[in-house]
Amino acid sequence: MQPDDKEILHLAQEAGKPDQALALLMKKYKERLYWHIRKMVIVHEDADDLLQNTFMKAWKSIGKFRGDASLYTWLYRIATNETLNYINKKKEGLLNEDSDMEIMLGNKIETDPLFSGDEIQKRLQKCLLALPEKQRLVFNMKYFEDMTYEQISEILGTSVGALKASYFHAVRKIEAFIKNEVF
Amino acid sequence: MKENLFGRKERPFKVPDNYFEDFEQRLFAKIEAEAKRERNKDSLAPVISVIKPWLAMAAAFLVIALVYYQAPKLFNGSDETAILNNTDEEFINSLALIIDENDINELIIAEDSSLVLPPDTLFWGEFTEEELAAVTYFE
Repeated sequence: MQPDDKEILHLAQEAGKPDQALALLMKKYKERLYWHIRKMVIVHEDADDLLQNTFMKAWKSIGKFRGDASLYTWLYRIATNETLNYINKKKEGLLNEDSDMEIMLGNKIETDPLFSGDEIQKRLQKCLLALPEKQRLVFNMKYFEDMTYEQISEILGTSVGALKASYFHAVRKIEAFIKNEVF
Repeated sequence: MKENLFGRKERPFKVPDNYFEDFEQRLFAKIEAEAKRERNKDSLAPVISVIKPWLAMAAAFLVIALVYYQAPKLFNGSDETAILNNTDEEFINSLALIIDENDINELIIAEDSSLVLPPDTLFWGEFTEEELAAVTYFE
């Protein structure tokens, strides 16, 4: 049985047991957050670091969490910010930021023993790497994680209309990539 | 729009064995290591805060001493000669302050009277004290 968010917050804020709260927080959210991050950074070791950073940040500030949003939304926001910041920093060290990153991660998909998909999935992942980060993020959350636009809107702070447009453009681009066999 | 438009929707990635099972343990170990590092930093902080002003003062004195001793060398081209000349001049001045004017004259006379003047000297013959003082006076 999954622990209740209210119980987690009570442990962190009133009972003075932040370690217990963190343990429950991880038990409930670690897998969902891991996959959210992993689909963006592709490499397991990077996803692991970012997931740890996400929980460390949550642990440090959960005592001040006001509960305006749900714990789920709050954690997703932290994880998403960590991930996007990491990707941007990694790009800064590359000569041609977008294409070099796409090539690097594309090669990783080809050789990574932790990639378990078939050929079609491999092609889809490579297509996704060609999308702008925000579009890739929206596509992943909608297509793979089955989130509603309202949920995504709350996490990313973007309007539902803009998200629908973003998802639509992402799908059209992927279809075009597959049709033209660009990769 | 069909949801499985792009093939199977399952995640095409996997994780190392026992990754999720061990995750909590690894994170708590990381938190503990970080807390230990913070504690070490905190325990050194009071010592550093006590020593810091003294170190700063010592450094300031060192800089002043260096400037005092090195600046004349840096800004004066013929520094060594100048220092030597200054020293000689200061010595003579300090002697003049403690010796009486008459004593100086006597000193000059005594020195000069010990000299044996050669026959072709301009001042041949005996000199009174006043004459001797007059001829040995230089401005």
